Amino acid sequence: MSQPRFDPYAILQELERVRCGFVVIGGLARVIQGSDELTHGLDIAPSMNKESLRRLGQALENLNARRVDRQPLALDQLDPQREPVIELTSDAGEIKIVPEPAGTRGYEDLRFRANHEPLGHGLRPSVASPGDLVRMLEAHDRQPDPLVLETMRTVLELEHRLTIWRLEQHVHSFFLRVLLHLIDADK
Amino acid sequence: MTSGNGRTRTCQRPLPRLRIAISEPPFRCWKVDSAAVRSKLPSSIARWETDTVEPGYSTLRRVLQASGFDIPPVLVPYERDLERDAQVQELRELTPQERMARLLARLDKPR
Repeated sequence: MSQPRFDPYAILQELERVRCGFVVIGGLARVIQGSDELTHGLDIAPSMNKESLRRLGQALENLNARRVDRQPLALDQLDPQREPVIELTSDAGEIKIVPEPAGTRGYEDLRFRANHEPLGHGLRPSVASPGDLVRMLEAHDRQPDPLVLETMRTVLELEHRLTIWRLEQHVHSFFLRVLLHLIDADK
Repeated sequence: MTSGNGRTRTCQRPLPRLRIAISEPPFRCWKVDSAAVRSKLPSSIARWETDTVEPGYSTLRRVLQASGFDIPPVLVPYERDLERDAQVQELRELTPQERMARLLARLDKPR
């Protein structure tokens, strides 16, 4: 049986359409944040809110998603300790549900630092921050690809530098405005 | 790695960042339950965990030693991979949409 073609837009559109809470994590999140790797699936940390899980279930049903281990998909019984990752195949490619990604406390922990990244097609999904993505790689049981980890650390460093630069620009423009105001007041 | 009773047994890989679980073990690397950690406010540990602040070197060593680990103060040569830096910089200049398009184009390419 051939693998379905990975179509992240189809999956994200469905998830956004049903309005369930989730943060994109894993390989695709790293690519969106600037990593140069290949990924064939979409990983998400879902909101554990009951209504949100019900909507997620509905979206997965619409995508014809099935568990790889052929077990029934019972999202209302998600237990991160017993089953840290649920692997699914769907008409739009692989999907992984990770209720509590390694090194984090799950959706509620990630969503504050996640950004709504514009991906085109009217989609702005919540994508985990570079800092959280590095944390997940470092805390993962499996040894991460050193190249991916180093790349993500560089992304994080650039992000920090950009944040400092933006802050400096704000401070400069604030003082410039104050200075101009004082000059105007002097006239 | 933690054993069944939550005590730290072995750590099979280098840990570049401090990971501490206070009550529940959300992180898989360590579980620290020691006087050194208990003497710290949970809020300050939570700030370490979320990278809001980083503990000082001596604090870090105290906590590590209390949990049966240590970081040897040894300097090793470090060389930046300028090629990778340039590549990351180049990718960072793309928009998230362009990065997605790049990924999909690479996936579509026949191997």
